[in-house]
Amino acid sequence: MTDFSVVGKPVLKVDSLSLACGSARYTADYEMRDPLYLAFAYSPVAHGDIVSLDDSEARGMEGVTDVFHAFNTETELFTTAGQGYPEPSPYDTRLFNKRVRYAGEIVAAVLAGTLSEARAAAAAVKVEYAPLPTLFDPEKAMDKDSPSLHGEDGAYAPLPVPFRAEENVAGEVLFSFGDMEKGFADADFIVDETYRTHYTAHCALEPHAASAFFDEKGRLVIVASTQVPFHARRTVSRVVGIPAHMIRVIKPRIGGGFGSKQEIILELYAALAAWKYKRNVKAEMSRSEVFTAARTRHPMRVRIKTGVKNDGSITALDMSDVMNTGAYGAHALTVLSNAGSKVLPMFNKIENMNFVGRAVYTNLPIGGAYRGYGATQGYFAFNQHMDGIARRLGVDFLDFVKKHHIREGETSEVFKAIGEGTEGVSQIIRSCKLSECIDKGAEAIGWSNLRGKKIANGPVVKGIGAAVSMQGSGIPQVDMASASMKMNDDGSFNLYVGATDIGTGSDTILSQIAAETLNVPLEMILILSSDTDLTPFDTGAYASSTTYVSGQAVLRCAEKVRSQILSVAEKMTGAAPESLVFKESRVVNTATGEETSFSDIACFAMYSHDQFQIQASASFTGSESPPPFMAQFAEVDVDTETGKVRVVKFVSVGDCGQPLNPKLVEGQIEGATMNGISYALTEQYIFNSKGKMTNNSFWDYKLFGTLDMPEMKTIVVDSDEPTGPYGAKSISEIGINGPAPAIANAIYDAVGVRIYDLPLTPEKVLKAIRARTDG
Amino acid sequence: MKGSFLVNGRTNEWTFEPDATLLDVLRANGHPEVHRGCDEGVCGSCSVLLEGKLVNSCQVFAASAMEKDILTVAGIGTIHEPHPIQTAFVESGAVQCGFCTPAAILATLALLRKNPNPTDEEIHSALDGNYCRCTGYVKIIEAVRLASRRMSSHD
Amino acid sequence: MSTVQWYFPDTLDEAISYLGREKTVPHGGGTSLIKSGIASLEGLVDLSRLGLDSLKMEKGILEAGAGMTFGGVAESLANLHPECILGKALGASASTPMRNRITLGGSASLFPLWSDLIGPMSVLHGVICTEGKNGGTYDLPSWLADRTLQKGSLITSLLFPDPVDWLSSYYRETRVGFDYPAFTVSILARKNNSTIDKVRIAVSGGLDRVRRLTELEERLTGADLSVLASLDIRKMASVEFGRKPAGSPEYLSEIAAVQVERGLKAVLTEEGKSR
Ligand SMILES: Cc1cc2nc3c(=O)[nH]c(=O)nc-3n(C[C@H](O)[C@H](O)[C@H](O)COP(=O)(O)OP(=O)(O)OC[C@H]3O[C@@H](n4cnc5c(N)ncnc54)[C@H](O)[C@@H]3O)c2cc1C
Ligand code: FES
Ligand code: FES
Repeated sequence: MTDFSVVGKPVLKVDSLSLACGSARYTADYEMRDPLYLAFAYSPVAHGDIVSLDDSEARGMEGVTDVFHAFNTETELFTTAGQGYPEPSPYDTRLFNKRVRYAGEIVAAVLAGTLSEARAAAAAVKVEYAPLPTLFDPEKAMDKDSPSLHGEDGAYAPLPVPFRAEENVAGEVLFSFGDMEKGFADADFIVDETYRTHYTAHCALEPHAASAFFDEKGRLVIVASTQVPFHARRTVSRVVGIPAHMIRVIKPRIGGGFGSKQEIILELYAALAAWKYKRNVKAEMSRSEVFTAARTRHPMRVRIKTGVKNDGSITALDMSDVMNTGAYGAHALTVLSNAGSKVLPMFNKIENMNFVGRAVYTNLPIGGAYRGYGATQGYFAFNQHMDGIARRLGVDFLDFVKKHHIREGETSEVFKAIGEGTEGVSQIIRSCKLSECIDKGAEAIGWSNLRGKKIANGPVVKGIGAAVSMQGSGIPQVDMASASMKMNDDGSFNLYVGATDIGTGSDTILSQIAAETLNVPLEMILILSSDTDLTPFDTGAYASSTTYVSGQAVLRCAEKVRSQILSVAEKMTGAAPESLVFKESRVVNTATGEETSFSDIACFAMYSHDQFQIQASASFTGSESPPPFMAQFAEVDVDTETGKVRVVKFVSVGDCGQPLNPKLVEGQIEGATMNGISYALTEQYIFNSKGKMTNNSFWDYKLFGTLDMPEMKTIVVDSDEPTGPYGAKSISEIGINGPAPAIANAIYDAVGVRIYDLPLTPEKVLKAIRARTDG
Repeated sequence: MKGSFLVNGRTNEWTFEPDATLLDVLRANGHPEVHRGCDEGVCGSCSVLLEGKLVNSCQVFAASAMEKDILTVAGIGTIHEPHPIQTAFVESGAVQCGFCTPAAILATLALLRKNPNPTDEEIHSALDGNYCRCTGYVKIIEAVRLASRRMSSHD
Repeated sequence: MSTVQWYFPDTLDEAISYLGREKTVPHGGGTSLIKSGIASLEGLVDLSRLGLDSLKMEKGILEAGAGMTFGGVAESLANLHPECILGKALGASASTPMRNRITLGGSASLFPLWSDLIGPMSVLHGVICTEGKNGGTYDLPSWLADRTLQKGSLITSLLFPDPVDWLSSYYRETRVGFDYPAFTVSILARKNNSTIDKVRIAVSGGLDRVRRLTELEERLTGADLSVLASLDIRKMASVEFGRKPAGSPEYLSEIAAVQVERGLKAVLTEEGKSR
């Protein structure tokens, strides 16, 4: 890394001072003239047909402009998932459905002069429902006598992917290789276990918001808290019926996303209302609305059956997943795919493998994209399962993983078998330092001193556990990013990217790549991102794609600019191209020592001779998706009298290729890790018997705060991904995969009980401890 | 109702509803640097200093804050002249999406004014009401330590 | 649109006269009024100018003004009497910014199920002093027993007759560090060598809101420390709970008893001291 000047350095995040000083603006901060406000009415029933809707009282209330609902606002079927086009998610919803499918579904939107007027009127919308039988248990979704949620409404999949509404199947992924029967027959023993993960929310601190206003030409400008501005424009245009050329979507600063804002929700209603009245409109969710009207992490049942020989080799592995997509199928197929495709290649030496995955509808909140995207759910099961097998074999879990995990130069059949819902893309792993990650982490956590020692302090027993995982870097042959760049007469560069910085630091990383390539200090790159009028296209901030895919687009764009600079310099100096080299903000003729500044070069091009502006654009689509790898370790204290689990220390060691900005890399790992720890221990949706979430507020949905922090250690190992920009792979998602299984494995290490379902609440742990001592 | 508010050293006459929170009134009157993350008193994104004390402005009736000294993050430093706590947050990598940052900086200020050399435990406790979903708090804690070192070596 | 009228009295008399008006109530920190909404109210009487925000210790009696915040009380006591259970409890409640707003008066008016004030009030034999319609002093049981006492009254201060020189332990059951407690355990004790002179134990958050474990207190009072080993403390500390997000009634009941036992051992024996 030593020969880089900007890349690999902990340069300051380019937007951070404005954020720290309060001058940066988020969606809800945009001031607009005389706006109208939107508020929503929600279904209290989990499944039912709207028999009648009486909005007369609401319409008569002070300040009310309009009430939108299924009886006055028809739209076609679509998906709220912000994905490529056509989307791999089924078209199964409308802006207002006449049949509601979960408690909390939007049934009406009220437009009024103030937010409180809109909210008051929303509460006055009277809806009569004819209740339908409900379906809350995903594992019963495919039963013959279960109600079919989408069987009658014409829901369909816009891509040729499995979709069977009658059976409540929103997506299906099947693949198999080898000979399962033989594989299991060859085994000395078979372990067959079922794990379950739970509903959770992203809890980005900024609630979803959208503001719509008109520019002086009458075009609709939507400022939105989105991870996918370009998909948002496309979907708004299609669903609301506004020509796309009349829409501009701007992404301002975003207060965190984690996948929640890869969904097009408020943008649609704000656009609908604004377009109809040609008035400015603001919409903002309250925290409780975010819990139920926005998206969640899909709960999953993961069954793994593994055939093992006494020598430790694995003869067959059969994974069968039932994923609960909730009332609608946003990201159903693709999250499900990832539970297989991001997990099963980990142990690539298994010759016989089978995967059956089904995403099913239930009358519960809607799943969506969430950091980890299915891998988190799969790895919770995978790591515990393998920990158990290693114990049964009498070998150390870490040695067991090292024996089986995929390595550089190797591939896995799974890459080819599963892509994002469709067939995948085969690839060879070019960088994998997982074994180093494991070794470094084991040392940092004190594995050999603590593992299996069950050190007790009164009723409190210590244990340690580990988990490994991999993710991807964008969706190969799907995700596309573009960048463009122009050179100014002072030698600075405007960089325009579609890539969407939602707090991740991509504006910084991409600026670093440009600065490195052009040999200028970071401040000479003036980045502007995510504005559908001003910047080129990018699929958006998801699938761990930005560094790898958008980064390559910037790299290529900057290289083109660089060669233009060189050719102008040639013309200016008459030097042979071989003798010209780049130094900081200038080109040097090695033959004569003559230096030409970038500013002079830009001015020459602009003002002097055969005038043109030095500028370029480039697009990139990955042909592969190099996975980052991570090993994570938890040291926990389990209170055997209360079941409380305290994470004392947590170590994450990652291989993300070359870290383009070490501080930002650590920040991504630390944030994902802490989210993962609180996902494992305290976060959960609690439903009543009617399927209504009862803890839809921070009062009872508990996130970790500063008082709950374990000692955290983050290590990034040396690695280099030859296909990545300056050797980089992704890092944003992977860190959330390990905490839950590492903690669960640590609990087992301490007290010898395996917890098969999340979250690992004290009551559950205590019950398991009791069952073991009693049994 | 009408009232005067002393925000960041400037007196303002504002009209507001009697049930409005201080957060509502600040945001409606040019202080969007105070963020709304939950409106329940839990996330702390709306924290300001009221008479020098850290409070969640969503849990304060605006009427009860009239005539009182209110400080937002915009009042302690600007992008051209940042406060040492602001630069410490930036340099430590404590700012990701930044939504929690203004409040965390004010929590730090309240702590360091009272206790210029806090222990780690005191830092964790002073920021116990300020959620951050992005950073895992690690670099926020580092930022507070850095600010503490810098500020105590200055005065 | 709210039409509530705000009053900012400078004297108690003025405040009380406002409180006599229709649907007019005191405003302490406002944290509960904001949560419950004030649409049905006509007047709010802000107490911040009444000077009810001081903490005094006279003749062994602690008097804390109703306008004091949890944070204010905790900070003062941490300096003056760090072992006092009231400071420990209030200092551990909610979060830093919330503690700077929640007042003693507002909390004593409500005593929510998750109150961090109620346990210390119970074991310290705290007294609620009020002015106005039902002006007087009330101990906790009588105050809790009669909700109508609150109508038209203004809590001016809380009195704690014998707050210091106790061995004390306070436990709050929370899911994360900043959480309201599912239950709390407050324990005070005095001992003379190996004899337990006095002990008071209260569990809050159960069906009884706050419950003194009198049977256990009686068995321990005057006994030798060795009694701790022979008594089935957990059985005697059993308190009934309703279902909470933190756990089932049975679970909460069980772990509350565990915490009572641990608290007692921590207070009375050397080995349990670490917490
Ligand atoms: C996020 C959050 C977390 C919390 N966590 C905890 C916790 O962990 N532990 C805990 O104990 N509490 C906690 N609370 C506080 C608790 O729920 C109440 O909000 C608080 O006790 C109310 O106090 P206040 O001063 O804000 O009262 P206010 O809201 O001002 O008033 C509450 C009621 O008391 C009346 N009142 C106020 N002052 C007086 C007075 N002097 N005389 C007579 N009546 C009066 C008011 O008219 C009103 O009816 C928390 C609150 C929130 C919002
Ligand atoms: S917005 Fe005030 S605490 Fe969350
Ligand atoms: S930086 Fe995003 S919430 Fe803290």
